[in-house]
Amino acid sequence: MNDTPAVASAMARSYKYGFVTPIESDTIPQGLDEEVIRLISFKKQEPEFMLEWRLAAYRLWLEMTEPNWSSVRYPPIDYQGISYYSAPVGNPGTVALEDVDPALLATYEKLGIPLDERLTLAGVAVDAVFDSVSVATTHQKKLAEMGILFCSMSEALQKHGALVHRYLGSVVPPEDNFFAALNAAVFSDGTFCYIPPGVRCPMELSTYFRINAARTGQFERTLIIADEYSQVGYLEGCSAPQRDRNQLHAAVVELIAMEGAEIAYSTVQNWYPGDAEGRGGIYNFVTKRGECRGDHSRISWTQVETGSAITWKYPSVILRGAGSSGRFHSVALTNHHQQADTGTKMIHIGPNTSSTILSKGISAGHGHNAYRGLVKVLPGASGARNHSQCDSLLLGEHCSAHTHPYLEVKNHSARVEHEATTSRISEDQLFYCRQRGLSNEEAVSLIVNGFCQEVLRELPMEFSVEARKLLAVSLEGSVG
Amino acid sequence: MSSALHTYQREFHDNSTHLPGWNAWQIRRSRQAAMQRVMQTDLPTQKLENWKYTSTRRLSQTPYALYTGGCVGLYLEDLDPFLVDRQASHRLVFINGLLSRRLSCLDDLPNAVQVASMARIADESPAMLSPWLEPVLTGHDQGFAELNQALWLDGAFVHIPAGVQLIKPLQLLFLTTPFQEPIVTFPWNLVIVGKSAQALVIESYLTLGQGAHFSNARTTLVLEPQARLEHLLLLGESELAWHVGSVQATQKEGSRLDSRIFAAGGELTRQELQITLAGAEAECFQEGLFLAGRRQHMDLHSWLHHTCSNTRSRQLFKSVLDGHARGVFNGVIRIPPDLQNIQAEQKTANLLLTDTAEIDAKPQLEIHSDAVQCSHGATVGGMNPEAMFYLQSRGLDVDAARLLLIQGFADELLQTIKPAPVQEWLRQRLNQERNLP
Repeated sequence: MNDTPAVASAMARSYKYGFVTPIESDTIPQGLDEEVIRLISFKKQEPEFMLEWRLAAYRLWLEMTEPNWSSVRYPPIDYQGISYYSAPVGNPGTVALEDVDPALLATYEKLGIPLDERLTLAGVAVDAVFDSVSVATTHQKKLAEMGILFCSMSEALQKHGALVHRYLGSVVPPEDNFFAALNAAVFSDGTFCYIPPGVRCPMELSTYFRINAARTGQFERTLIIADEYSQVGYLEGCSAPQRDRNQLHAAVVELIAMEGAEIAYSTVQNWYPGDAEGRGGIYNFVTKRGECRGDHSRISWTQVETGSAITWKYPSVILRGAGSSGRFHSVALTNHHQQADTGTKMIHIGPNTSSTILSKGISAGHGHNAYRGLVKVLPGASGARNHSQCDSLLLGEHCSAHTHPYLEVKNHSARVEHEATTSRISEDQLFYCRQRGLSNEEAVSLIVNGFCQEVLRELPMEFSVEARKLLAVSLEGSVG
Repeated sequence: MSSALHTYQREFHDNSTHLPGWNAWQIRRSRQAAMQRVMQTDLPTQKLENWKYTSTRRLSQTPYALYTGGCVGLYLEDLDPFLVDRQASHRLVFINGLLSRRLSCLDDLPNAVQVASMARIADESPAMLSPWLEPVLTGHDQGFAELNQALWLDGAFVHIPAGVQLIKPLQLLFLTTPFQEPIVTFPWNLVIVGKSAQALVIESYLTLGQGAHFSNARTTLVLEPQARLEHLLLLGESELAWHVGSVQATQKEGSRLDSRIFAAGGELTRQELQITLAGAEAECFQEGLFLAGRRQHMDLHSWLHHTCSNTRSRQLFKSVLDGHARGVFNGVIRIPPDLQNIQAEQKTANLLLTDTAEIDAKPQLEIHSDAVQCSHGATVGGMNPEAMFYLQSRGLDVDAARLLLIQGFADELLQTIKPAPVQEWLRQRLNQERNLP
């Protein structure tokens, strides 16, 4: 900020989760061809149909070109320079908690994710994904008593093949886009979750993604099915070591909500963002989409994006069922040389569907933040309702904020509203806070928190606290 | 290369020596360079982001014939419905893209104000045009503007010298008459408003009868310091006509542009507005109203570029879409780094009357500077049932109630137009063109 008193202190507080776990891992050589895909499928002992599915996706991917329409800029990715599978030795798949390598448990402990069930006071069941595989899933037994399936994707493929076969790729088919096709071909693990009809999931389900090995990509796939009148809250967290090379994370998340079901999906994304000069960091190119298949179903996406060198994703909702509703709440923060091109797509197909979009973008340093969203109302969506609000806050002279909403309306009884503002923190607000004894940095932090308040309160309690801290840390040093 | 472009290129080659200003090297070079660029990029297709919602297949496959003259035989009385009160305005009338001296009237222009045919200026004093020959924008999506730059045949050249106030409005009427073979017109207008000068320019594109034709128009507006220009653009061509136009304006310090656009005609009407606020305290107010029905396609693309600190802009665009009409709105506000104290506000409101009408709106902000206040808002909706009920309960029938609500929606943009005869004329034109119930 050019005309506020300088607080150019504490610029580089290091990324708290940037450590590497020295653990022996089974990493396959870099490169991608049909053999690699066969190898991944073999290592995971998958049913036959999966191999066919993966190979078909791979062939599709070969014919596709990498998209370049977004506002993010990065050097070309060498897809042959990535290792597509890396697993800690001795972890061929999910095992009982007692058998998990203590070094791994310690890693998660350090990240603040206790896998030990006795220690888990808050009712959160965790599926921990380390590089390419799921290492532990907690509270499985308790959930199974209610008929809830919560396990790693590998386990689901082995035990519930038919269920996976029926739903996998039905929301994000491999041909959807370049990164979805790549993911379909090489995805190594992820989380599978099925909530039977009428069940309210007694605890929050959660996946924690950790990239550890160097020169690997993480490609995981999450599939959540909420059957009729069920309800589930799902949390996703992630982090990665500090490295100079960029790593690719291309995940796919599919949500399916049947009649009356409700899925609340929250993400606190804290991948390594690269250093202050923009070296290293994760490329987070993720396809997330939910489908409200049944009437009166609800899906909500809540995301707090503070990490990643580049965030490029649009969690979307297809509102097919009558009266279904979709919500998108997002805070995206870019500092230093981070880039974000994020937003959502709301596709209104059924009558009386409604959607709400609330996006808050904060740019600091040389950060580049773009909101790109689509609200599409098809002719059958009578009485559809949408309200979008996108606010951007600029902190500094070198950052930028773009807003690109697309509204496509083909129904006259639909009501679509969009509003957006872009500005910096007002001098009056800063003055007021400082006059009350807050330092410049505290004042900015307070104002930014207030700016994001509407989104943060959508997050479950523990995540909300975490997100607030993250925002404060990510902004440190950007004021001055 | 698209087949239409091929034809235009052949025309260009065969008839280049007849093009105005060909003997002047600056103009010749500008035409050749533009032709070269469009040959490289080809005419735009839907693959381009800025043409995503607009099919140009018809325009790039059907070659329209270039009109180069011929007897039309119109009397001034025939033009009455298309003109603002004859006594109350100056006018240049272009029939099929070429100036008709007989129908134009510039009797009581203030001294030193220059209003002339572009073709004549290009042939007689080409040096006057040379500062304005470079395109403001180039690129794949500018194919039609490039085509105009290569092939323009006539248009209005307007120069209001410093300090002069043009009291009466200046009307530029582009009227196309039906022909056996559909024709294309390429008018290029240049309006230069000198320091502290003031003017109201009404530019209208209309058709006599129900012919098919293609207008590819380009207007360059230059506002010198403290200049004030009101620019009113009316697009009301026939149901079969296609119109692709662009207005490019550059504003220097302290200048103010009021740009108003009203579109009701055409099978496809696409207008681009590119405005650059290049001087401190420059202000731009833009308004637009689109009335579309049948299978009309109406398209408005606005780029507002603040390139200087302390500039302000405000935009309001409305559309009413009936039948199978499709409306497209794309508005970009762009603010480059290191600017201070900029205010930009954009609003678009769209009224859909049927389930077969469609609107694709895309208001965009591209902000690279922190000392700004920018906002945009967009709404899409149908008739408010409560308002309909209210009017019906007061004894209006459905149609009357509907019409009243539509008029109310549109009136926000019409009632601010001055002077009164212009407002009255515009209302009449819109009533006539309007295909709304």
